[in-house]
Amino acid sequence: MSAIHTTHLDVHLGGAQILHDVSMRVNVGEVVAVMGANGSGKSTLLRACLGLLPSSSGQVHLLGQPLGPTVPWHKIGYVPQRTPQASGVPATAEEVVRTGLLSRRRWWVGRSGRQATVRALASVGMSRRRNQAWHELSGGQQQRVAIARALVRQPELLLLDEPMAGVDKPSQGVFADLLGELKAQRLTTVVVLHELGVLRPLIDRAVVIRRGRLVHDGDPPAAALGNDFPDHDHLHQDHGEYDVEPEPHQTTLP
Amino acid sequence: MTEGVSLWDQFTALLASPMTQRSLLAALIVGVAAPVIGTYLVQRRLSLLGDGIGHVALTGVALGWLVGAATGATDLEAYAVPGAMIAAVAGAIMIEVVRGRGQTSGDVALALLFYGGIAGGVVIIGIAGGTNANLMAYLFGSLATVSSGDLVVTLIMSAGILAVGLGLRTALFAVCQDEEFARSTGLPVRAMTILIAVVAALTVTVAMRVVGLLLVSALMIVPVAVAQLITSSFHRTMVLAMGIGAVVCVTGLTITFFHRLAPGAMIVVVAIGLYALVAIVRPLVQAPRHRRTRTEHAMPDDADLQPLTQEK
Repeated sequence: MSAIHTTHLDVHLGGAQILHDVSMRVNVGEVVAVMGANGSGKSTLLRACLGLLPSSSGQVHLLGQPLGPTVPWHKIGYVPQRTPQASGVPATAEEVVRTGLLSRRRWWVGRSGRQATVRALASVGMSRRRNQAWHELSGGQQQRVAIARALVRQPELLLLDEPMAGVDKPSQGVFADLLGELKAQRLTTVVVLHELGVLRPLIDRAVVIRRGRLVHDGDPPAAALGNDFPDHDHLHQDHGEYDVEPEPHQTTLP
Repeated sequence: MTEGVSLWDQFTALLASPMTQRSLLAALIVGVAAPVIGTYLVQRRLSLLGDGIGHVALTGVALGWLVGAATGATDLEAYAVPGAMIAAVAGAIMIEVVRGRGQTSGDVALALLFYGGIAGGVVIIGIAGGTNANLMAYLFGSLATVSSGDLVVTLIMSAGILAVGLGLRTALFAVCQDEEFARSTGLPVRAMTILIAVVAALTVTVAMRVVGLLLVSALMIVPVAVAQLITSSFHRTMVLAMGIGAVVCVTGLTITFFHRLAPGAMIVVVAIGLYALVAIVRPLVQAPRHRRTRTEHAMPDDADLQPLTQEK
């Protein structure tokens, strides 16, 4: 059984075809990077795999089941691309993580969820900040809370969309360590990335998407070869700011 | 001093009147219930949804009158509240469906519903043989004329709002906080967003009595706006907003016992006054907390990192 199996997947969004005939497989226990430039369709692929976007043709199987209610959704942990939240109602990190315990059948999380929530927050090094408001956290900390929200489900399949985007160095380190731990536990992981960076030793296989087509499926590009990517310059044009983006809170340090 | 005593005497005398008791009770119940659904609306950045539903409900009020006139009912008002409820629920579902379809045309569709609701209400009330004056009670509230029957309806509907809003709060919070993630968990997100809209419609219908359709959204949103100034958790925001809703409703109404002012508008003015007060006072009170936060940030980010223990 494959954790993810797509066959001839086409996705159209707003009249434009975003994905062309993508067939790929993620085996149980593998750590697979989905790579590509901004706008290449790598996030679209992840979201289509989860049924968050409709596919126009082709098929997706998750954990052996075709997309739909038969998929064991409670075994899947998803970390969406971080979107900066404008001011809504404040929520604490713990409240956000607790929602990870919900599922198709479970609409309520009582006190029983507290222990799991605290443990998940500890696993990303955020237990001391569990009562802090989500919007007061730095980008990297918010990302770690989002990962804890996916891990609290005790998933068999973890999908992360650009977990390193806009993330400070300490959080990047925490995240790489965490992914190493999860890999040791044979958690199947799919991570959308624009650069392998610190995660490179953990990646078993890389799938490269360019203009909506799968152009590479195999060994992750070697560190030096990383610059051989046809899209490499493009990546930096789009994402260069991440490397220099200051941590909002750290700028106020004495 | 003597004036204070006489005010108190006046107040206790008023409290003895069943009419006053009913209006106070209605204001209290609605004040507690309305911010519950308002918390979800603010979280979804749909603060104006209640307004839109309120506009649509006016057409429902007028349609109720029309039905009353057509069936020759003795009390033309009898169908107004059921009419408002049906129109509000239908309007809420319509708004939610339009929002779900696509974002680009949604804004215009909402505008059409808003203005169609008011214009339709005014035209239809004319057809039903009424005048705009008949709509005033619904537009601006009519706390003074709450009957025992009205009170029972208010109580039942508020109980329903509280049951859904509090009972499903973890799931509804998840849907409002991060819809994309909520969908990936398998939660029936679509059904839940429609549920929120429907409960918002019921809240509008209940609160119509207290503050009127034009100000209905204020009762749902302003207590939440005040609460979120001083809390950092969703749960506390909701609970505090319920308390604030109750206090401003009772305070606003009580003021109008002594001065002949419109209760609905007074309640909203009190709520917004409270918001202004809290917004001004908050920086003074919270200054020490901010200092503490900054020291926390000086510590290493991952100080409490522990080895991951994930059970498989």
